Amino acid sequence: MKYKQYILAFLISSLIFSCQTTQNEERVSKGNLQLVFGSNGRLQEDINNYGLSIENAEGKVILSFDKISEAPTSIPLAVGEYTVKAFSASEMPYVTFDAPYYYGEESCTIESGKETSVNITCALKHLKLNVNFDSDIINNSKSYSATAATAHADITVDATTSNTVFVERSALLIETVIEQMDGSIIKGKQILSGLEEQTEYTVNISY
Amino acid sequence: MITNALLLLLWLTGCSSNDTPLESEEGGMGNLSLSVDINEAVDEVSNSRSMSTADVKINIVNAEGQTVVSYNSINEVPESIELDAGVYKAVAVSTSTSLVAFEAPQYGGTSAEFAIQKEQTTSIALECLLQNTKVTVDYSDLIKNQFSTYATVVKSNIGELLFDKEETKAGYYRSSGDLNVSATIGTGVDQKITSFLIENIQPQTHYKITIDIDQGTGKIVIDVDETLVDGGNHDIIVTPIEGEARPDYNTSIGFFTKEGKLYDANGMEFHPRGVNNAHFWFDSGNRLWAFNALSPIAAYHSNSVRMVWQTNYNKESWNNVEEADQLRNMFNEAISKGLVPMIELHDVTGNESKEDLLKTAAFYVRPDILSVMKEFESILLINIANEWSGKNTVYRDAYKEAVIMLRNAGLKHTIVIDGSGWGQDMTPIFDYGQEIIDADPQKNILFSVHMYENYRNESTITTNLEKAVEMKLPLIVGEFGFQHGGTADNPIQIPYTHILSECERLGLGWYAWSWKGNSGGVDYLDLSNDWEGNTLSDWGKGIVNDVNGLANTAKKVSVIN
Repeated sequence: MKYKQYILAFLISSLIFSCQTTQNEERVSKGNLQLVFGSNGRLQEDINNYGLSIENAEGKVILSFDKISEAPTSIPLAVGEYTVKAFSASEMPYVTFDAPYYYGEESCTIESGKETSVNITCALKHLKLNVNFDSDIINNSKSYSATAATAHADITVDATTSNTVFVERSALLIETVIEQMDGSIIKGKQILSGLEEQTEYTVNISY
Repeated sequence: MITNALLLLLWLTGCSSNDTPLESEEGGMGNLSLSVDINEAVDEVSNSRSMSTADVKINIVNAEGQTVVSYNSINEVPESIELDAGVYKAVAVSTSTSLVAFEAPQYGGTSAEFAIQKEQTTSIALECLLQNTKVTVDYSDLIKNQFSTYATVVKSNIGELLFDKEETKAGYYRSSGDLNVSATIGTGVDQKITSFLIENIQPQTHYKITIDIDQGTGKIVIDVDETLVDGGNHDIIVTPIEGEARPDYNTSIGFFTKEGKLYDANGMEFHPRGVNNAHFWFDSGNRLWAFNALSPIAAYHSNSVRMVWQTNYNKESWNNVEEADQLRNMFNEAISKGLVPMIELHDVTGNESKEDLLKTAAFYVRPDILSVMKEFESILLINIANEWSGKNTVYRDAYKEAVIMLRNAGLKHTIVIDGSGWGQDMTPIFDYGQEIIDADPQKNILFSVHMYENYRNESTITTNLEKAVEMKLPLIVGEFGFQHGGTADNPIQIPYTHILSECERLGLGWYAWSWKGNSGGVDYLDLSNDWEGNTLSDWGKGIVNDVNGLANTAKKVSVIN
């Protein structure tokens, strides 16, 4: 059981422009936010497709990019506090077979004349479920399925699908339906609770 | 992961006392029969040793945390142990004292709390999990092929281990602080050294470290691949259930009501039987008295718990824990004990203002709270407000509006609505109950009456409960006591055993008030003399052991294993 940890390294430097101001003008220090993206090169995920947003201290998004690859390497920013967020998709799917959602954020301070580096660890925001049916079910049933219902959506695992799903953190209601060879149906619902993000769980279903 | 299931069969022999089986001094000594079964059919990584039964020490711990019986290994556990009646848990502790070492996994675990009562048999399972942190180090083929010398030191704040190029064993570290990984590749001028920090290492976790070199730059790259040993194997055993069909208009994934009855997600009729527990008043300040009481509450056979809450949460009084997280922890803890959680808000007790009721109801649709409520739609019951006492059409209109507020926010749970008149007046339930249900798009309402001094006569109890059943209005008794009101010299007695018997006869649920913490002249309503449930009050003994009490009538909900 594992989750992959992706690290985006952001090298942020700020440079102060010399500003000529009059006494009546508000003095605003500005700098350049320089982003240098790097990874260890061993990632299965292409972080160039990750989204990126930069929020100011008030939580207002001042810059966002659908893809990191579209972000310029140098951005003029006022000195201050910022939060840089990186994510694998614009929205986290509540349930998914193949689109696990990774997210990370880090606060940083742009100071005049100083270079700041920020490491963002993008971690899995889903929990991962491996749904295993007992061999008796697989070998002696016409069909079988297990539906995991979260607070917002559900996803069904059966003989035709992957047995691995990613779902939002929630108390999960697992509904199992087994059609036996004689056509009779066995079904039941059970709750799995106390589940956490970034964690892989194995659900063994038998009867 | 290694999981050893210890099946503990507890058997207490008969005691001679006639009506106080839960109090040790009156219940006397009993026998504990402990049968241990080690399940060796578990996951095991190739380079770890198998767990020996001699590795684990077994302790039986009472409600005060005192070890009353201890065995140095599972094999030493006898078939029969004498124990006082009371609440206990079984604890498995590794006998290894190693802090940092190769191939030194340490396993342990704690059972759920269980109550020993005379002439009863209790079975529990104790699961042992890895308690320390596992680390392995591997090297890429590039390093293995191009370098003859390479090694890595993994150091914690307690000790360090050297993983040289031949090392394939796993290191086990006490789960405390950080790990500093320092890799040295090659020798001489081409030697490359780098270090990496793994912060806040966790127990039951396997950190797989791979050392590699980026070919383009020669820069050393470290991948940390965390393998969570304790994700959990959750076993679901499917048994045929022919449940009641959910009505088309009800789209919830949780409880639903139909024809005056409450059903769980499987369509199995559920009679909630349990106690009230004052979390909001006794869990703050890191006391967690009510939170920790969920174990003994479950041990004394409750299948549900009504959790007291209020809207004036101040996280500074709660160790800076966000309210949503606190609620989530409460619900998860209850579910883990087999208890169906019901949350109620105590803010407007006795209040008659419609506006105040709606303000209280708005708590549930606050974004952070709404999120938690939705998370637990499959199992949570929502009691909008404790004993809000609006009268006549104000009662009707306020609750219709409050229900619609919750439904519009996406809450499809069974909503519990108290009677008026401090919960005791069922008149508006009879007058407007069906109208409130009909106005609910989910038609998922459960009414609740509180039976105190207004129900001093058995006939009043029977008349009101029967009327609700006849009208097919889903109903529970959300609170009741054995005594309430009157004067100190002449308190009003409530025939609570009649409430129990009538609820059993009519198929209704109930929650006794309350586990612990009563004051202001009603301390007698404490069901337990201590939060840990070590000794029950006479009131508590009756609720547990009456022929219609918890031990004899409370059945666990079908959706919790």
